[in-house]
Amino acid sequence: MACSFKEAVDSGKFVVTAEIGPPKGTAIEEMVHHIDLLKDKVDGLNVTDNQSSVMRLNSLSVCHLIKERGGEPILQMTCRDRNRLALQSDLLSANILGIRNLLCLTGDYITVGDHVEAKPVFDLDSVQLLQAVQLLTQGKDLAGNELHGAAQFYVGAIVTPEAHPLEPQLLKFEKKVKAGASFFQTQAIYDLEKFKEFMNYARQFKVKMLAGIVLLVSAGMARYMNANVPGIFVPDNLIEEMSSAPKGKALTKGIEIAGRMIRQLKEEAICDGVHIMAIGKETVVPDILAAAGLA
Amino acid sequence: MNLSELLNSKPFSITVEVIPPKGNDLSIFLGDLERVKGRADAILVRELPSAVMRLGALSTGVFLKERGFAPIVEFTCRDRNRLALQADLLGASVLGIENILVTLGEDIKSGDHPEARAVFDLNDNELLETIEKMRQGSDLAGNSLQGSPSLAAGASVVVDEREIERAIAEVEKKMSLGARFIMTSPIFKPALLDRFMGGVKKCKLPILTSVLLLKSAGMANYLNKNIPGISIPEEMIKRLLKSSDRGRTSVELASELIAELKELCQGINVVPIGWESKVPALLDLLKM
Repeated sequence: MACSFKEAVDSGKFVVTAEIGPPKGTAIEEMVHHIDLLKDKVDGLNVTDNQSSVMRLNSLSVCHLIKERGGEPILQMTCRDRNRLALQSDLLSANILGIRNLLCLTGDYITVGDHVEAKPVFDLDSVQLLQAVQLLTQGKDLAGNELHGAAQFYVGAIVTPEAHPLEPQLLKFEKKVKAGASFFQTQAIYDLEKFKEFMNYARQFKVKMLAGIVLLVSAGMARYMNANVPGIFVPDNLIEEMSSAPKGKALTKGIEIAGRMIRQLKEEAICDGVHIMAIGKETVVPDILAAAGLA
Repeated sequence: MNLSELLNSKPFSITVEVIPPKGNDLSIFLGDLERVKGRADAILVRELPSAVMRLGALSTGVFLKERGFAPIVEFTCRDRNRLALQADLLGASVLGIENILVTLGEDIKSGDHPEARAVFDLNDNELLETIEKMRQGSDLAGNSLQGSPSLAAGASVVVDEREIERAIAEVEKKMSLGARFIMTSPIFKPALLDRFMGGVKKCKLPILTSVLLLKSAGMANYLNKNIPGISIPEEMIKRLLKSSDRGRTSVELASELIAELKELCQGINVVPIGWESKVPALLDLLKM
């Protein structure tokens, strides 16, 4: 990348990040192919941390690989698997490996993953993790001890604009802003009118907002998310649009919908950028960008 | 060549233990290490010893590897659950770190974040078993891996003269769980190592014996009193007491000890704990 993720965001351009899901093992060829395909087309590659509590190659190593290949990594960190010693230690570690962008999350329940008997750690929550990051950048750790060299981070967090109930989500959002989050990545959004309402509220805070775009690959996927993923609501008209796609063309339709949404978000300056989650279909991210008029 | 192969191939190897800094400034840390580059066979990177929050062992290992060192990275069980431990082990392998030292990890209460939650989802033996499983292509829960990691794990064993049989039994146990080498707790008496080696010879596992740089008689007395398994002979303490140059005496004591220990085992791990700057002088005395 010609400039860092922070520089891209600060420039005021409509930024695009894409998600990279590490493999469950050391076979990294396919992931490296995705990294190489996307690194110069987006402003940041956001690497998940044992997403859905499924054990995978660690995010930090993948961010290091992205950096080595000339990409701009964003390190996801959850609070589920590490205590405050390991979290802070990994934060310092990220810096010496040249990683400056962070996304702090609480993390999914252990029980949704593939090691249900693992111990959930949650020594800190996402707000406390953000506070720890802020302290490390000021040259101190969470216990107030001085550091030999302060950390540098551009730090973000997540928000679910369509959470039900919304009030606790907004309280948490404001806590995250106060704890130093500079950018936010949202849970997948599909209803832009509702998202505009959320943005009317969020605009009062001086943070950058990246709308979460999850690529729809079938009507069934949309219905599944509506039934099972808290905070995701795919409107009926989009489900119908997905169903109407000719056989074998659902993915094409999903790309068209994602591209159309991104185009509108940008043209109407609804938010500051998007985070594209293609979940296993990373190779079509350039097609989504083309459909959005961003390629 | 991994550490286990190295220990088996050379008559005598030497490793130096290092503690990453508490922060991002690596200048002093690297300055000390540059002076042992090419002289020590490997650098053992400790992971948050005494439960003090520091720069991570894995990233420090990667950082050192990129600068031409051969790192061994410690993995403790204290701060990560099985998801994070396994994810980080895959990461180690992907970034070219093969040598892992598995330890349990010290008490959180002894560190600088006593209110932190101690994890211990796995213990050190379970972590060794996990590594062996991963090497064979599946994770701890039995799920197949897409690509298994190349890792050579070692284990640490406390060699206490009052419980030598327990130490020997532990080596056998760790070997059965997949350990490729054993690192001992600091040993100060060649006779003790000799007895221990007599008991573990049948395992044919390379043994890396730790040698601690004693900074003062006070430190020696403290260790004798408080650390299980450590027994420092009186003559050593007397020489430190009488010395006008403790740094020099410390290095001489270590060098004399190593001269005897190296005849008995496959390698020596030098433990400077803060006296990293004295290690080059020790290597000089050892003609390494």
